[in-house]
Amino acid sequence: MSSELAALEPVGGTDAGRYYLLDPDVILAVPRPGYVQSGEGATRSLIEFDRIVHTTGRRAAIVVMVDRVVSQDPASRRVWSQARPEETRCAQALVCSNVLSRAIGSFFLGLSRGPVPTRMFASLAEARVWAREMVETHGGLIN
Amino acid sequence: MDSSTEELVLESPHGLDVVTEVLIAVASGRFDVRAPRSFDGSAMDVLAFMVNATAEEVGLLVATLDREREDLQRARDQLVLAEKLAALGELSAGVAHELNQPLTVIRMITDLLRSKPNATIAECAADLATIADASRRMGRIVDSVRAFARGRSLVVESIDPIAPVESALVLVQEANRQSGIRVDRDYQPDLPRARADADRLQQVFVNLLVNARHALESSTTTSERVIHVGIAAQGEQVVYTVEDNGPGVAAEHAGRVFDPFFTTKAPGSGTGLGLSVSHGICVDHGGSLCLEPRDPVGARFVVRIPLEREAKRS
Repeated sequence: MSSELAALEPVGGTDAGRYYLLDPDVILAVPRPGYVQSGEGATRSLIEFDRIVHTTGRRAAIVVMVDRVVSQDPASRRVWSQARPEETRCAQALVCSNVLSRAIGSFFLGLSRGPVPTRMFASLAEARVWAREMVETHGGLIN
Repeated sequence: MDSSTEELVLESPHGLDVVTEVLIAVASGRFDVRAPRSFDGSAMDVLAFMVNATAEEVGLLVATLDREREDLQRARDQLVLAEKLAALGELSAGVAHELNQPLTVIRMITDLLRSKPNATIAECAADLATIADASRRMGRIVDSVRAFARGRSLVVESIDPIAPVESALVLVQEANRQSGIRVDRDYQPDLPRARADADRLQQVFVNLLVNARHALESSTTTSERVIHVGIAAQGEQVVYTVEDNGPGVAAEHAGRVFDPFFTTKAPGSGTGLGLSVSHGICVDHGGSLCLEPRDPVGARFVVRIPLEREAKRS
């Protein structure tokens, strides 16, 4: 992962982790290892994501490395699912390649799915392809 | 999840025991019990995350459902009140006339008595009795209006099953008289007591009687306009029937008469909530309100309310 990140442009971050530009209008969220997300943490992360997107003026897809997250509480799930999506997010891709991250991602998808198209992937490569497609079909200027 | 909620993190040497305890707690309605986690991504850690997340989400869901249930009950109470106020408006002219009649009697007799300053109490006894009767009649009318207007939660108690019908008839009888409608009563003798909220049932019967009057007023029949009110005990219930010989309910509308805001009347004529609210009141009592066919013409509404258990056994 480190070598892959070194090739990417960092565009922001919080105490939870860092954001990188994966592709045009595709933002990669890399939590710090062993991250436990709370509602407050999710709020800070979303605010930072919105700030980054507003620098371009175009909605973006977010790809999240859930493998680095070890827990997420209900409040944080609702922050991501209930925040108004149309302003900044056109898609959400969850990269879950181990059992724990798949469990975390499943709870997010199953119980807190909001209106933003969201899918789970086993690899970053697959998530990236989908995110690009979603930017083409659902991206555009922020309202 | 509310960060201030205390969570009980279990300790146990056997991971599956802990998981089982969390799930048992959820099943028993406790959503604050948690399995300890190692955060190492092991199979046990994943299982602990999943049961904890399940407990959290189910707890939130139950809390949401409880809130929505309370909101729904408040909305239903508001609906009942709105329908009641609308009906009071409908009844006010008739009630005012009802009160004016005994008031006129009292006024006439007191004027008469004033013209006889030397008359003794014994000589005035008959007139004084008439004043007392007129006052009692006014009191019954006021009590009926007060009971009808009372807004409170359902209070089920032992009642005389005739009382809510008669108090409703007091409120509508003047309007019926002005419309040339005769009301026939057919009450089974020695009725056992019922378990009900008399004020709420009065609202049901006011609604049914007003609807019957409206139906008869719109009827082109040359027959005498009649509303028939029956009360009988059947099994474990008291059964009320309110029927009229008006045009009846069209077949295509019969399945919808209890739907909220459904009405066949012109816009502005009623809320369309009367039968819906009445139906809800009957169901709240553990009873029912139904529309039954009536030959050859007219409509029959049947209210069923539970009898009091001691009365049923006797």
